[in-house]
Formats: sequence, C-alpha cells, structure tokens
Amino acid sequence: MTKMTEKHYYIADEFSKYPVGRIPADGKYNGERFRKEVLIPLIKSYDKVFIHLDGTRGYGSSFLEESFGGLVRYFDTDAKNKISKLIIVTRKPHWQQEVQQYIEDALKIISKRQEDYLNGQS
Amino acid sequence: MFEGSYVRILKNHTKSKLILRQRRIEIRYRRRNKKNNRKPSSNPELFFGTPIKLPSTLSLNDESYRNRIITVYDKIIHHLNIGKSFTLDFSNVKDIQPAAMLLLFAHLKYALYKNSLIKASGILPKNTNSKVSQVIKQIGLSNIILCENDSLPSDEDVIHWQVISGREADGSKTEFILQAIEKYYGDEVVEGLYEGVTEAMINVRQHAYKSDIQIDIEGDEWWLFFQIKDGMFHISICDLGIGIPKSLNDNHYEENRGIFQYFERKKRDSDAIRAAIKLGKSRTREENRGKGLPQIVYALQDVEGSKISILSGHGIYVRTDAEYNIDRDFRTPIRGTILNWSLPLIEKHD
Repeated sequence: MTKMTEKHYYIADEFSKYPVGRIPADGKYNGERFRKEVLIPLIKSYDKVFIHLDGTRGYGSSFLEESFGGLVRYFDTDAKNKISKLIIVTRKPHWQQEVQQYIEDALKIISKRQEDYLNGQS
Repeated sequence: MFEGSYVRILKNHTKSKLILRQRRIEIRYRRRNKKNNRKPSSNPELFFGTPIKLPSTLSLNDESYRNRIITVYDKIIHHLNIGKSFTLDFSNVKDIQPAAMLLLFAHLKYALYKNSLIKASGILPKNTNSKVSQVIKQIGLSNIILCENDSLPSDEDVIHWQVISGREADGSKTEFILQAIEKYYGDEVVEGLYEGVTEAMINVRQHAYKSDIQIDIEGDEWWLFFQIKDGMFHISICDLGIGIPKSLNDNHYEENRGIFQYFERKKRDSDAIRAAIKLGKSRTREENRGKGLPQIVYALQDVEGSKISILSGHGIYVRTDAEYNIDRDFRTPIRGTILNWSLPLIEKHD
C-alpha cells in the first residue's frame, strides 16, 4: 500500500501577499499564473493539496475565478476527480464560499456541455 | 544646392518667427500680470506658450466649474496634439476637489509622457504657502510643471495627499493606503478596499483603452490619489480611456438587451454606469467574467458613512452605505472614468 502524499501551500508566503487579476496582462501575480505554476503542478504531484488562503491583502473575484474556476476548465471531464484532491484552508468563510462557488459554477458548465453533446448524439 | 539653401533659410525664418511670437506672448502675459499687480511666483524664463488659466475651484461635480476644468483638460490634449509647450496658471485657484485634480494630473502626465518634446510650466498663487501651492508640492506636480514652489506642505489636509500610478494592477502599491486604513478598521474593510481598488486597476487594463483610437497609452494607464480630509479617507482612481458608457456599448450590447432597455430609453451616461453595475451582478452566476464593477461598488457597503462615486463620460453615479443612490448627467463629458471611495475615520472596533 502506497503512502498518501500531502502538500501544504501558503499563498501569502509562497506566491504573493498581493494576488491580483486574471491574466498576465492584468498584473504579475495573476490567477492564470497561480493556476499554471502552482495549482496544476501540485494537483498532478500530490494526493492531497492544502491551499492556505490567509495572510494576503485580499482576493479579487477575477483572481479566484481564474485560479479555481480555471482549474476545473483545465481538467475538463476529469475535473471532479482532480478537484477532490484540493482542500481550501482559511479562517474566512466568505473566501471558502467564493472559491467553492467558482468551482461549482465551472463544473456546472462542463456537465451542461457534456449533456448537450450527448443529447446531440442521440 | 540653391534649393537646399532656400529651404534652410525658409526653415530658419519660420523658426525665428515662432521664437519672436513666443516672446511676444510672454511679454504680453508679464505686462498683464504687472497691470493686475500680480507677481508670477515662478521664474518667467520658465514660462512656455500661452498660459492656460485654471478656474477658482477645481471641481467636476458643479456644472459651471466642471465645464471650465474640462476645457483645461482639452487644452492640454490640444497642446499635445499640436506639439506645443504650455503654462498652467494656478494663480486664481482657491479650492481643489481631489477628483478634478487627479484628472488634471493624469492629463498632464499623459501629455508629457506622450510627447517628451513638449514642456509644461506653472504659475502658482501669490501666497507662497497657500493650500493650493502646498498640494501642488505634496503630489509632486511642481516637478512636472517645472515651477519654483517654495511652499512647505504642512496643513493637516495636505500632508496626507499621496499619488501613485501604474500600468498593470499592482496590489503592493496600495500597501500604504491599507496600513492607514487598518489603524481604524478591521480585516474585512481593509480586504474589501484592497479588492475594490485592485479590481478597478484591472478594469482599466481590460476595458478602458479597448478599441480607443484617440488615446494610445504606452506609459501609465491609471492614476490614484489618497487623501485624508474632514475626517474622511478619500481614494480616487482614474483612467483616460473610452469611459464606461462606450465600453458597455462596445462589449455587451447584443447579449444583454434587457438590461439596456432603461438606458436606451433615456440615453444617459449615468444610466449606462448603472447598467454596467447591474450587468456585472447579473453575470455572476452563469459566466466567469464581468464581476469587477460590483466588487468595486459594493466594496465598502457595510461601512457606515461610506460612499462610492463613479464619474464617466457625462454621468455620475453615487452610492452610500444606506443604499441611497444618486445619478445625473452633466453637459460636458470627461475623458475616461474616475472612481472615488470615501470612508470615515472612526475609532477601531473589531
């Protein structure tokens, strides 16, 4: 039996205290960069990934949506499985809820697309 | 050979005519100042071109003053377009509203960045330590408009004026604001403000200069003022882009006809600002973009005594904590958009 691997990642210390924006044109510490350089590699390498949100100056909606909603879009049909590895850690319930909402919204879009595709097939 | 010399002579002739004209204007202006018993506070040798006179009150919320300060902005852009240096005459200015000053600052920085050959000089009020001179010194405008400013910023409502600018959204630039605010407010308010201000910077990146053929920004895209006055924090951020009404029409018209119905009927810019906020809210469930403006508008909604105002094109939209909304259109439009947040300085209570 193989041991489950875990990783704790602290955004404020390891990425930036000032995360902002969606794409590189918006700002240096943007959601797309966070998703590509941090979230995707971590999810691919570990069984459980704990993302610690506290300690930053805040999160704009565009950063959170691009990071976590974008993560679902990246894994596409395998998203549900991959996202189950992700655990959001924060003392602030509204951040937790916001991230959860973006993940759910992105998952809904994927399942609607799959549904439409299947309906088209039949 | 002959033709070349002729062109050279003609060029020199035109150049000397221009220099003579410039001198005549300067002499005329100095005479007028002398007649009015007003001594220019700056070195006269530093005056450039025809002086642009600023109104006694720099305000964008009062129709008559608004028209006059917008004329000043237009003149700056006109001088940029014809490649001519100019002088800003502050001698009559008595009162400065941050939003109007911020937009003046942005126009100046933009014009001087865009054409490094043009220069701007300034004439300050007679009283060397007037509030206006102090503000000009405090925000670094004295260096931009090349004027001797002997004032010493010391007034309580001047020393807190701070200005920053940038191209990308950079949260670290707001740290000094957040540190000032967190002396009075808890995490939630500080975060809300950080999120509102940085989303405003992103909005500038994503929408303000889109499809704009008149303004081709290469340097800074947004300018921000921070001020503490009359027991309130004031944060204003502006851009010189196409403005919300035009950006709204360009981007979302077809897919959001319903939201536009009210706006279409009246065709007011203030309704376009309302529609843009509503559009952002309505897009939160189904789509992954367009949430920036609501986050900006509702950033401080739980703070008692707070206020957000948005000026864009002809329109102004004001929202207070009590959900008391005001909107109206002015006759003269501004170039770009200004967002202002105000919140009271109160004793910290967690």
